[in-house]
Amino acid sequence: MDRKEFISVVSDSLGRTATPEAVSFDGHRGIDSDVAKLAESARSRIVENSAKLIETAISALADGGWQVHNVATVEDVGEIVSKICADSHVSTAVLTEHRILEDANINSVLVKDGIDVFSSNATREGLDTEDRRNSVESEKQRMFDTDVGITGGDYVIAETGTLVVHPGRGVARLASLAPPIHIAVAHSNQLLASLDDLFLLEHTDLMAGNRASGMNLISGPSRTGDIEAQIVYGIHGPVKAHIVLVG
Amino acid sequence: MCRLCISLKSWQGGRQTNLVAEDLKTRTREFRQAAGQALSDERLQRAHEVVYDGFHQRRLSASGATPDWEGQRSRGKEIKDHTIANLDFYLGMLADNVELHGGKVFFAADVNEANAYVKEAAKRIEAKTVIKSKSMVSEEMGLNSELEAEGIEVVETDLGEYIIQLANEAPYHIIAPAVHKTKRQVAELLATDDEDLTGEDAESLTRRARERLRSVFRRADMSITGVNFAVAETGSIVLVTNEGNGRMATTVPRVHIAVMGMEKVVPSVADLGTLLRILIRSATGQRISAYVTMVNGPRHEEDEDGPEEFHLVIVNNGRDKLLRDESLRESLNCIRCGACMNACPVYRKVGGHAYGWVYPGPIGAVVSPVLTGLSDGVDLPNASTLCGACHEACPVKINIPRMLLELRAKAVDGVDGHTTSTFPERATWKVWRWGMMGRRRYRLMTGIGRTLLSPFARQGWIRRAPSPISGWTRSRDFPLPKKSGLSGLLARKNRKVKD
Repeated sequence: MDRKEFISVVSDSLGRTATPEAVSFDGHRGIDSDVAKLAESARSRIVENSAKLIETAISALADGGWQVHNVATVEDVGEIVSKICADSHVSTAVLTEHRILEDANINSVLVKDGIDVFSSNATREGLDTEDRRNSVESEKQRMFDTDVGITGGDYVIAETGTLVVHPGRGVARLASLAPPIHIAVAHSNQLLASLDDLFLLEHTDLMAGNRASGMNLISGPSRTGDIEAQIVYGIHGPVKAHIVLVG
Repeated sequence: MCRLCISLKSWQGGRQTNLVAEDLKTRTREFRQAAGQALSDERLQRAHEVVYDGFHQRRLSASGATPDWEGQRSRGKEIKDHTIANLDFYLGMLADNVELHGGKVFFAADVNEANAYVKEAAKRIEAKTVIKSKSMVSEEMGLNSELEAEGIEVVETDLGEYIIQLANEAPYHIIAPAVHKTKRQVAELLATDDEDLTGEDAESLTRRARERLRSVFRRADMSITGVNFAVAETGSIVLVTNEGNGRMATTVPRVHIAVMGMEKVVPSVADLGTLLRILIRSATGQRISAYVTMVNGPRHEEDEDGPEEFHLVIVNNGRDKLLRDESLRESLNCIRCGACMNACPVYRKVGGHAYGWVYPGPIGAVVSPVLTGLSDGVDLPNASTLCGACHEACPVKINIPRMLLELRAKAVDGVDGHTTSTFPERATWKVWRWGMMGRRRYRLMTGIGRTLLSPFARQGWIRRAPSPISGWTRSRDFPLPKKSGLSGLLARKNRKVKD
């Protein structure tokens, strides 16, 4: 059906002859007028409360099924990652691009362990549509055959124990999804208090045109309860999810 | 439920079949029969109790642990009330923003238009394998068989939906579609030709499904997902899953088509905190589901993966009837968490299939009859004790009992120019009304009733009464009206006290 016609049926059902030009919602008044201030305060909560939030976060992360590893400095991350990989007999790993993974030298740690590492950044510049498509396809198949995906994140939500990842260059969606083990590395200065803080920041970013093609909230391993309501981890996504929290 | 009204109902007609996909026949007329079957199935009854009570208890503890839960519910209601009251505005805004960011929007007046659009897209890209991630609207559309008729492989990827697809059934519960299946039944469904999986536990059965579905994900070229929330101001859609199939469906295929009922739009990204919180905690009692996926459009050129095309199909399919009727409009606030079902003493007994259409339980008893025809679905609003548990459980405070009463009244007053009540029924109620309007009349009526019924009574009770009271005595005894009513007893008592 034509859009105009469809919407005019809706307007008519609401008892009006035309769609209004603008509507205002009391429930948004605070958000609309003070969005910058609210976002700023959400950001400042990250800095001020990180010590307090980390405890809440660790308990919520564990509740959601994450294996939580809390380390003091970024130098300690490599050892943990190396141990997880050794314990699970990992032979292939994919790394997304993130500052924290570089700082922790994950790539060289894994290479030293004899693990076949590849970056989720496939250079596709100069490729035509068909070649680009083929490249995406082959990377996809490769992800399904990889043992572990190691990613950073943009935020960690203390309320819910959630890692927030925006896909983009160097950050394949599949890296945290297709391999049976996911290892996330995040810093306590990325902690947000609540879901509301996340969506407030996301609202400001999106409205400012700072727009990724999506956002994934990840709260532990994949799970199902569809056979006799028994919870089983690892139906489509990772069977195990580890998070190394620095700070 | 009033047996009297039901036994007198014989009229049929006025079906609006255009709203219902051909193969997904509405079975709302068969409610009583289907409910009876579920009630006599002991195994099913035990499963119901365990599963629904589990969901119910987890919801109670999750909501109890959420600071200001009542405030969150009020906020959720406020957001939905506002959006539905301005649905035309927000749908326009949503469409503008999806298109602005490279997505395509299609408005479908009914299931036929929606099916045609999806089929056309599948043909255009020569899709061989379509994966689906739980979408109730696609159940309305009967989309699976529509695509299969085109020679396309369609695979449900939510494990529960996959199981019922193998069993060729409809979802039993909107968030737990296969709750009625035992491990053994699942094992039989998952087994290929000469395999015997009946000894396997839930974990190893899940592993088998994982392996099988991963090979499907690898080859899928198109996906169809539902939408939990569509954000007008940004043109984003949000999907909530625990299994990760929603993430797979928004990542692996070249083309992603999201299908939504038009009531799923919300104004702002800033509303999502509240809405996700109340949805997920009411649905499964989790703090949050394992995955929440937001899609802002097709993948950017520099992205490593993700679909090249993003389509949003916005479906009306009779929802304008709910919108137009102010007494039923509130039903469009539903965020499909299933809490009303888990709380409902009737649903917990009769189960999901008895309701005969896509949406079961208390909210289904409001929505299904309106969308598919009240004359067929008149048993649904009557299948409630009006105890209010659904209203209490609803995360957006939908007053379901009020709407059930509303529909009962509509059914009696008449729909589409017909009434579902009969002359003897109306006459009985007229006489009853007259008799209840004064003490003398009341005494006269009970006197007549007593005289007429006393030949059938033994020691003040009637075991088997003639029609129409036989409707009552088939399942329980009917008391013979007493010689003197309460006022008489009181008068006698007062006299004694005075003496």
